[in-house]
Amino acid sequence: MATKPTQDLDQKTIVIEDTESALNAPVRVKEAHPIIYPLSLPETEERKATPAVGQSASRPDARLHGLGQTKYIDDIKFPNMIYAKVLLISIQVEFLIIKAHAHIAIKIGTLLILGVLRILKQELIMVVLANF
Amino acid sequence: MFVELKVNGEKRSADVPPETTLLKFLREHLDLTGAKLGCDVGDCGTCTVIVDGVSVNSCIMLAAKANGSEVTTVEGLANTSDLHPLQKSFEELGALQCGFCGTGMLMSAKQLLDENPDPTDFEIKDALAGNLCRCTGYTKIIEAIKDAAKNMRAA
Repeated sequence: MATKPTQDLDQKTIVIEDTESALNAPVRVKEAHPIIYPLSLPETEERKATPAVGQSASRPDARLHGLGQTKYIDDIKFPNMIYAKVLLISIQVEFLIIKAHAHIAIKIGTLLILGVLRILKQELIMVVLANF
Repeated sequence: MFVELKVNGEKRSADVPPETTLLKFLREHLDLTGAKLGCDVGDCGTCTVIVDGVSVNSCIMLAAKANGSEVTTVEGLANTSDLHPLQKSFEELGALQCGFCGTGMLMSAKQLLDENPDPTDFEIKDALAGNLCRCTGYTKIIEAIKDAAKNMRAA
């Protein structure tokens, strides 16, 4: 049943070598191939052996997702946690700024930045830049 | 700045800096992490909560502006014995895959069903216009909301 329409289509495949005339040719709608779907699946031995086929399955984690109880990475907090921020100023210059508490400061030239633990420039993160 | 809200029927308060958004207030001061931080500019809708019966993007609403109002988050949908019909349908019909958009979707859907118990496909799509989902392709979410609406009307 399933292979018959494919065979019909294969026979009607026309190879057009002249691309220009193919583009200008009127679009032809192919003949409709009525495919009859069985309304009820036959209870074959194979189907009995795989009872999950055709059944809807629910995800094991969906309950917690729906309750808002799943902890994503942003929902987890640790004491004395520091935060990193990537600033893509251009392809050439890249910083990774690791933020900590406000009593830590970093000095760049004459500029004093509060709360910044460290700034990593592109030289220190070659692995990332190797992809560019 | 002292902010006091009624969150999921319970009075909660905290002293926060004036620039604190409602999302930050809920997540960091009240430890309600159900509302997610996605884009932080009001595009993605993962932070959707219901403030005085209206669904809002909590990432662009200041906590101070919500002072004194009644806020419902996803944690307030279910009670100890039963899931909300929306949660049940979302779970059964596979509308939650990674689940990150789910909490926002549920809140938008809840506000829709509170106002309109029998929404059409178009009305559901319109209500979810502010919520982005990258997993499901929305079809299952729309099906789940219709299913929940049916169950809620029957109940």
